[in-house]
Amino acid sequence: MTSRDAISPGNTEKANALRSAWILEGPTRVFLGAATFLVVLLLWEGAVRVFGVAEYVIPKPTVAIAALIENWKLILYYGWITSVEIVLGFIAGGLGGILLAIAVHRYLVVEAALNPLIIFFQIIPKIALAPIFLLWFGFGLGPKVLLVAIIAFFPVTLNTIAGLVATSPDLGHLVQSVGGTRSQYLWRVQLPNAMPHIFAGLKIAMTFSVIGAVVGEFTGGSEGLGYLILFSSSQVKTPLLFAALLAIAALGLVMYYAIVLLEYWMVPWERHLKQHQMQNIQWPR
Amino acid sequence: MINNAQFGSSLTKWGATVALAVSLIGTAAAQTADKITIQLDFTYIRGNYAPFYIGRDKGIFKEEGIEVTEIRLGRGSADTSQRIGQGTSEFGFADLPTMLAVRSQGAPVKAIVATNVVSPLAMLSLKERAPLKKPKDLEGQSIAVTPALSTYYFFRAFASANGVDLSKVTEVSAAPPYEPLLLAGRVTALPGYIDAEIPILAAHAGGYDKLDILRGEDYGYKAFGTGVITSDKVINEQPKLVERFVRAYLKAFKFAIDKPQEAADILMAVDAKLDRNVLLDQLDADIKHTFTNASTEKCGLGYMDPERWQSTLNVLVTQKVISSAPKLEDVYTNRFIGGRC
Repeated sequence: MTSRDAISPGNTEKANALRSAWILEGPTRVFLGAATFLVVLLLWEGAVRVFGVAEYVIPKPTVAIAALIENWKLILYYGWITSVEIVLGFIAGGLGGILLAIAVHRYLVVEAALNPLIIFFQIIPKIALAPIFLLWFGFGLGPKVLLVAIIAFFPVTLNTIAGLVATSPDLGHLVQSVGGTRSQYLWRVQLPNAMPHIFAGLKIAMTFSVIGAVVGEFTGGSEGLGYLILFSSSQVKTPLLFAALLAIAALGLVMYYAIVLLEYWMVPWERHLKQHQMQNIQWPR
Repeated sequence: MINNAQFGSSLTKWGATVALAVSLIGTAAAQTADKITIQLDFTYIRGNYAPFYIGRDKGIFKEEGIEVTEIRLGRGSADTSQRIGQGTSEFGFADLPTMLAVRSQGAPVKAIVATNVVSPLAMLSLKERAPLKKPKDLEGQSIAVTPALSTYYFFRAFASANGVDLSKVTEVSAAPPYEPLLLAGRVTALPGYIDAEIPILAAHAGGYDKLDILRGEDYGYKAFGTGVITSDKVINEQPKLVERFVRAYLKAFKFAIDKPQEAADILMAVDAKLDRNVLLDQLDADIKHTFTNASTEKCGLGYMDPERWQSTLNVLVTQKVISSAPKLEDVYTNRFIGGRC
């Protein structure tokens, strides 16, 4: 018997099975998520039928999905337009956020100077900024991308700084001891080390980017899923409204999981570390 | 004497030269066309937008040497008026009382055509739930309003012109569109446009006979509705362009009045998401009530009666929408409509 078995005698296999269930990768995970979603849809459909809710208040999911299918070309086209705004804005905000974090972390002068501005931009409701941008810059793609970037940068900046700060100083001493420079430490050690944090920020930023693109479209323009929401609500075409909402939700999910996938590919060591750590947790019966 | 072959060949050369000259002139004319953009006031196409699309798609603007590169939907008349003042587009379409308010804030906008010479605003309710046969019936009702919007000033002006005791009316602050609120009974009455959301509401309520509608015009509210606007800069620097634009617009406007079915078809071709019946209802409401009145009969389509501008200004001043009244001659001009007055 190993020392492990001594701690939870006779339950090694069950314990190991439970431990791997905690991780819940792959098919089980997807199934659970999909099943829950389906249950929600069924409850929604049931509630609308049973309580006789009028369509202009909230349509049945079957009606909303029917509207989605009926207008699929339009929704695909508008979805593309919104996606471009999201992706360009996210890249701008993400890159900008990382660079800003590096500048703020590296140079105390920059931190002192920019800190209030950064927080100011975060606190200002972007719904207030949107009409101002659109008035200055027009209804085109540029101001919308700018709006998304401004909404997206803060979580990236905050998390990147946290990641840079979290690098163990021992690594800094190590770099010094082999004759490395401050810059080499930053780019070759601190940044890679900060990747898990950066990705946490990017995941949040991606959800913000979707919101930002929709807010931008509420404020100006004649195309996109956000505009479609505006249009269908003014025309009291509630099934189309919900179809647009479903499309935005789907788009948001795809975008978010794209970042998750990117993280899976770019930061393998964090995942392996976690698995290793999980195996060493001993939970008493 | 030239023989047949020589005659044929010289004819060909002559014909070719003429053809070349004509095509060069044609290209030159096309190249000198003025490129403009038009800024509309709201988020969806409604009936009285027809003249712009008719003008563009039937080549009426082109005949006047104008190329419309973009017709943009908008986010409210105040926003549109500001953009025209800024110069983002040469011409716009906005609620004229709202434009007046924006002008009083310093934006250099001016009205050049009144499309709705009579205000399309009305108070309405669902007959069954809360009858509205006369203005006083508003007392005891709840109204959806957004304090910043034109419909709010209208509601208050309507109330004061008809002696409605506002303390007996519940104002519910809500963002438009208000129609679902009315249909769901969250409010009992609304201010609305007979040529915009009222047809949409009627379609959802099961017909006009389900609604009680009190038009502002019938109850002491004398103001303009939506009209064509431009900036002082465009008028001063390109008066000929404005003249040609208005001429083309009025021609397209007349087309919409005479042939609403075709107008609806043209709008449906622009945006297939719209309801053709709603578009027709919107146009019919305007044709019946707001596109023409005694002064347009006398002076021409789009003519802005000075008395009506004065009454519009009075409403805004009394409702404290504007603090410093601009000079009315800065606010509008009839000089481009080629009218008889």
